[in-house]
Order: sequence, then structure tokens, then C-alpha cells
Amino acid sequence: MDMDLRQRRRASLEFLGSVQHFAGRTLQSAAAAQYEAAVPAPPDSLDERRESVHSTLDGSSVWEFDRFLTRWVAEEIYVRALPAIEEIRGGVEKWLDVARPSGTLTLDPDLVPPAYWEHGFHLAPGGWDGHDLMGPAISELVFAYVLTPGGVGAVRAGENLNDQRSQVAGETRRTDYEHVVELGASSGRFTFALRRRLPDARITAVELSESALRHAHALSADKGARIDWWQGAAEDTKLESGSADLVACYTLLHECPAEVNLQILAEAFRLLEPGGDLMISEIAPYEHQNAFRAVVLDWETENRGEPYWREVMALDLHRALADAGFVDIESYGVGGGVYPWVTRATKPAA
Amino acid sequence: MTGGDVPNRPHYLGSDRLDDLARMITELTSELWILKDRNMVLEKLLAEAGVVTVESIDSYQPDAETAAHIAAERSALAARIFGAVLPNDQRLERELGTVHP
Repeated sequence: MDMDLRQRRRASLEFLGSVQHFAGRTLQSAAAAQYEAAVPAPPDSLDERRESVHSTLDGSSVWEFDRFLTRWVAEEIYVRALPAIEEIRGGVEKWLDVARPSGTLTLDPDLVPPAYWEHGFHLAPGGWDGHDLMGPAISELVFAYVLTPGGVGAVRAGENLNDQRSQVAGETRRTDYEHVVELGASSGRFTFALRRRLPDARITAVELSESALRHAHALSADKGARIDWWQGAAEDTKLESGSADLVACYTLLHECPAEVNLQILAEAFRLLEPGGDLMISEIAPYEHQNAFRAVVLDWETENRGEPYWREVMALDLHRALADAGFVDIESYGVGGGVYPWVTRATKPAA
Repeated sequence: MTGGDVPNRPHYLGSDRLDDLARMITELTSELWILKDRNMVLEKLLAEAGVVTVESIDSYQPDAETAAHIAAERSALAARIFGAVLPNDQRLERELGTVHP
């Protein structure tokens, strides 16, 4: 949807993108250079790296203001995006009320969201569904004005978040899947990339957030992309066992506690038919990141509403996949880097 | 709305008060940007309406009277901002000096 904001709202959101871009590109790069000059041989363990970076950069203006501004932007996106979308509510609601749907939208009025979902998720006031237009506010306005120019988490400033999703979608082991289930689809940015990659497959996209699902459903209609949107938890989808030949998820795992990650893997195994594939895109393990970068990523845990980040990054995903019954497990960076990072596995044929 | 973990906001610059001040400065900078953005929009719309052009604003040379008016406003701004640390009687005296009944 084209969302024409009023001048003040547009300019205030664009400002956040510029601030985050400056912090990420200039301040953070300067802090990294300071650290690397001071500690040419950093330690390997995360605890030691965290201590090393924080003690070395204690009192560094570029480091402290990079962190300050990153946190400030993370809070401010809601303060600015939600009033911006309220001002154009009439048009947005009309657009969300899809007249000619493509695919289906199945909401669960009896859904009781898992407790972990409301635990300070991304600093969103009131939780992810704390505002009925949170989905379009974040996935349209914040993505366009702040996250794309400014970067977020593992995505560096200026990197294209949609291109990364398309790159990952291009990594499916096959292209002749019949039924794809995506877990934690949010507003469908990765789902649409899967739709383009697998034009003949039936796609069911599972997500907890009603506001994200309604937004995704409207986007489907705009794009003419046939997708079935399904409200549910990734670890308990209530979809039929053995009904999918591909299960996929994009940056879902770090949003859930480690123990729930194990449940999600078990659910994926249950959903897959024998011989079916699982494809996960997540942040690359810390052993593939340099010390400064690992600490910057780990910082999200306490500072940007990512309460499960650290415990999930500590999870041995290959072992967890093997324990869940998967075989042919492999991980690699798409394009040779560390982000996007893909893990693929297969449920053994019967 | 609880604001995520905002009630437990960490600080980044050495103390909560310093963070508070920095937040105010970032907000002020944001407001400044919104005004600058609006000014650019205004210039564009005025030019499209044939009222002024950006070039006519850029090349404008204040006459003596206008230059004096701008200088007085500029001095007052500097005095208000950088004089904020001065004793209040001095600040009040200066501000009273700007009153034109």
C-alpha cells in the first residue's frame, strides 16, 4: 500500500533512519576500529568478548553514543510510526478490509498467546499486538523509513532486507514442493519471496500476530499472491501432521526461548512428510563473527527487546536438529558472508 | 501500554540524567529537522506557485534595516542559549531588554 504520510510524520520517521544510519555506519565503525586497534587478539568466548569490548571502550564517545542512539531509535519508532498511521487510519482500514482476497486468512479467536511473546518484544508498547495497526505501522513505515536506510540487528545500514529474503528463498533444496509451511511469517516479507521462488506450491504462513496477518492478507491481495495466512504459534500450529514437504522460517528462532526453539523443531518435524525439507534462516553463530560484531549483536538481548537472543545464539542448532530427527544438516552464509545465514535439513524418508 | 522494557531503560552515557539530556537533544535535533524539511517543502511550493524561487532566497542580500533585524534576533538566540548558565537576574535583565512596548 502507498501510505502518504503528513509532512511532520514523514520527516520525523526519515530522521530516525538517518540517525540510525549515522550511528551504524560512522559511530559503530569508529568504535570497531578503536577496539580492534586496542585488542588485536581478542578472546573467543562470548563472556570474555563482552568483558573485553566493554572494558576497552569504556568512556569511548563513539561507542557510547552509537549504543545510545541505537536504543533511542528502537524506542522512538513506535512513538512516531503509530501516530503517523493513526492519522491515515481510514485509508489503512479500508485497505485492510480486503474485497478480493488472494488466498485465505484464518484467525483464531480463542488463541492464548504464549507468555514469552509479550516479554518486552522489540520494545513494542503493549507487546507486538499492543496496537491494532502495529503490523502495517512496522512493516510499511518503519521498514521503509528506518530499518532499510538505517539497518537493524544483524542487517547493516543500507543493506536491502527484501533482497536478503529473496536470496534465502533461493536456497530451497528443490523447487517442486507442493505444500510449504512458513513459521513466524509476520507480515509476509519472506513468504512473498517463497511465493516467487515456488510459484506452484501451496503456501501456509503461520503467525501469532493478528495485526501482522491482516496486513499480510491485504498485501497478498495487492500482489495477487495466493497464500493461506494462519494464526498460531510456531511450536503448536495445529496444522495436519505430514502435510508439508517444506517448512521454512526466517529470523524466527531468536524471538523465542531456547526451549521453545526445540519445540519448533519438533513441530517442523511433525509437519513434514518423510523426505521433506526444513530451511531456517537465522543469525550466524558467534564463531563466525569477529569479537566486536558478536558483542554488538549480543547487546540486543538487554537493550533492544530481544530477551531470548543470547540463549538462542548459545543453542547448538545442528545438535538440536539431529536430536529432533533431522538428517543432511548443513549451514552456510548465502553469498559467502555471514548474513543471511541458512541452515538446511531433511526429515528422513520413510 | 507498558512500553516494552522502557521502565527499566538502561543508561548509556554514564548516568540516567545524562541520558535524559541526550534524549532531549536528539528530540530537539529531530524537531529542527522536521522544520528544515518543512522549509524545503515550502520553498518548493512557493517556487511552483511563482512566488519566490530557491535561487532568489539564496541570492537575497539583506538591506541595512533587514540585516540589523536579523543580527538582533541572532544575538538574542545566542544569548538565550549560551546564557542559560548565567544567574537568573542577568538572564531576566537581558530578556527585559528585548521587550518593545
